[in-house]
Amino acid sequence: MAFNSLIFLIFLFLFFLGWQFVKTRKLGKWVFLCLMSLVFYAWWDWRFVFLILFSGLLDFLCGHLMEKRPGSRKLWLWISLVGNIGSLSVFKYSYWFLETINAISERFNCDFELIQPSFSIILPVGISFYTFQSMSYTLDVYYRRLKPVKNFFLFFSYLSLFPQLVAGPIIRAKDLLKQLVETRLPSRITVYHGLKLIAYGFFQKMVLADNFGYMVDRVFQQKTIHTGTPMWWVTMVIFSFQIYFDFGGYSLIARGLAKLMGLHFRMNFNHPYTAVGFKDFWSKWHISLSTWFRDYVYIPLGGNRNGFIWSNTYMIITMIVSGLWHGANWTFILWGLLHGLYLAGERILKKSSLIPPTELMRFTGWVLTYIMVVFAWVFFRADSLEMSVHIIKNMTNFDMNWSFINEFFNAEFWLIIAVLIELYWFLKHYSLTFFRLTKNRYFELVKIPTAFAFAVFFRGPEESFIYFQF
Amino acid sequence: MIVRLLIFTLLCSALIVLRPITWDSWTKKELHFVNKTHTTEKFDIVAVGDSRVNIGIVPSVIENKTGLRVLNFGYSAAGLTQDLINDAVDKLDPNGEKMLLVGISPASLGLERCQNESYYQWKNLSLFDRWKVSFLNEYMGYFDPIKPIDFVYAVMGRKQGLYTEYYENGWRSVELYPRDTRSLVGYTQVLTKDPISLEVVESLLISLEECSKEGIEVYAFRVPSIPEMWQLENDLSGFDTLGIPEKVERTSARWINIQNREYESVDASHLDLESSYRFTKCLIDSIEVFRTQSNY
Repeated sequence: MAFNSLIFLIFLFLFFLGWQFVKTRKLGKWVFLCLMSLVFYAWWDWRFVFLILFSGLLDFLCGHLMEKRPGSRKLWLWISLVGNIGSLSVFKYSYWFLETINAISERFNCDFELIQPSFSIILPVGISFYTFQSMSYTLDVYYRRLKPVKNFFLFFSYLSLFPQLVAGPIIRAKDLLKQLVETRLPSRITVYHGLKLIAYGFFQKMVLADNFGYMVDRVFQQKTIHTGTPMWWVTMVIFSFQIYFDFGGYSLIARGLAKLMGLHFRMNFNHPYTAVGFKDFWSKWHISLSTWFRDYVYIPLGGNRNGFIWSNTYMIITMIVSGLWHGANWTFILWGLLHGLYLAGERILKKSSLIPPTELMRFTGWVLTYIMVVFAWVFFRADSLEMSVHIIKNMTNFDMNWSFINEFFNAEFWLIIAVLIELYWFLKHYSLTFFRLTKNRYFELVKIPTAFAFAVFFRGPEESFIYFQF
Repeated sequence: MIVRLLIFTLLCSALIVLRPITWDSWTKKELHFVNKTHTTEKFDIVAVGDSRVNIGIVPSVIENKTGLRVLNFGYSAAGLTQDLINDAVDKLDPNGEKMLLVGISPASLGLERCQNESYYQWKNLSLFDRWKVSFLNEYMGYFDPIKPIDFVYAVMGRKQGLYTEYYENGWRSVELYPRDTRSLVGYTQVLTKDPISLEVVESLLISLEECSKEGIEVYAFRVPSIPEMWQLENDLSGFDTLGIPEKVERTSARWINIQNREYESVDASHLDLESSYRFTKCLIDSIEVFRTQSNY
């Protein structure tokens, strides 16, 4: 059930009704969380429940056995990794893998064709998120950063916690398990902040992202008669905000719901389009995933330990894997590769000290970072390499046709609002004068109801959260 | 505290009072399509086809003339598949007149169209969603989403865009301000990407034959539009040359020849309100003439 649905509202009401009776009890709280989270997950498709149960049971046992039989710790770790990556590979990558093999065999006139088993055609919602979350547990236990939990309900409530189950953020076991063990009753100010996050999340998703989605979908599906370089640039800029607010909005709602339960999730998006440079961008975009890849892929590969060239190589490999995590398509791999090259290039420039640290260079860096991120989004959004090439050609052929402006007035209007919102945040954080001007209790009062009212009245055509497909 | 409450109340009141009328109500649209897709009521006459049928055939015109119960079973971007035809036939009262009106447009005979995304979106709704739409949508109209441009036009006192009215028995009327010929470009793309499929035509003919064998009076016709649209469709899809009218007649269904000269369209594809009324009258008159001649 999507967050922006009536059924979720009913679910939430029932959840918090029951929560009052269990929130101070450890086992009762864990069992209740597990049951309600499974109901939430089963609502998508009840068959998916067996997969998450399998993943959870496997990693719980592997963690447990790593402690009981420390001599075979590496074996249990491998079993956990193979089990999780295996299920991810079967359900998410098998079609792409088979398609690639079949294309190669056709290219070389080989007389065989691999058929995809029917059970692997459906993609379980959130599989990329909970398998990574589960693997982070076994990896932390293996590296002795965490002691394995003894109670299965505690572990499973961490793994299946419904606010972050289907689209993150990916919560580390050492952060959440501790909170689930404690009795944390939210204060009134915490409840207020939770509601504020939920209101902002719904505004970002239902007003901004969904209204942007209408234009982006129409342009990408070629349902508009317009064309031209400005249209494609505006579309890609709007897509950059669509994906930010769609995913960012979901994360805010998840964090807000967690706050209402007395739990704290870390920030997942920190105004990434204010970033200057790609290291800065990745410290602000999908923080839970980028730190996961840093800690469990980049550093184990070698990190910065083996010299400048190898660290850049590991960086590029990590970003390619990150691209592949997002989807089974060569376009995602290209997207990851681009960002890997951006990061490597940035390191080389910084090492050479060619760029003076002036305000003008900082501004130029910000502009260039944003343009290059938008360019990379072409590969992320396009369905195929051919489409990516088609879009890039249109973005660079200087066909200055502005006829599209009227058709997409609404998306353009919300783009201006989105830019103003980001500008507001930027000024609030970097200008003391502006901060003092906006620190007004009346302004605070109207923010939450206004955000909710806008989410109701100005919501765009209903679109599912983009990251559900991952 | 009182000042804050006052500000909050003023804001909410402003939103309530200043809220412009929605041109195309999503809640009404949901109610319209869910009701007709899942209605358990039975009818004497069911008209099936794509949006040209949905907009072009006015049930009340037929009801007033014949006294029969009529359902408009048209859906946006519908393809004339066996599934759609069967579902339309299911709405017929087995003890009634049992007449099926099949509106054919070249686009509805395309293979991609036959995925019937729009139709299945309504047909495959969960029980909960159906309940939600049937019982809540009537009261939820106030919460229909609005666009910023709605405010701009409301302030300017201007109508712009597509206005839709939904009626009982499956019909909807549209008006476009200002009217244009956007569909000529749209249908050029549609018919180029998704031309008439002989497979779909064969499947349709089989469905019509089966209906005729079951004692259902089947009347097929090419849904009217403007002459330029028919010409475009003929040029791109070869509709006329495929001999579809003759093939339909061979299935024991009746082909009604529609004169595509007198009608006006809002967008070069869909009939305007007045034309829908005229076309429906013309259609039922033609059917009555045929029935009289055939001694039905």
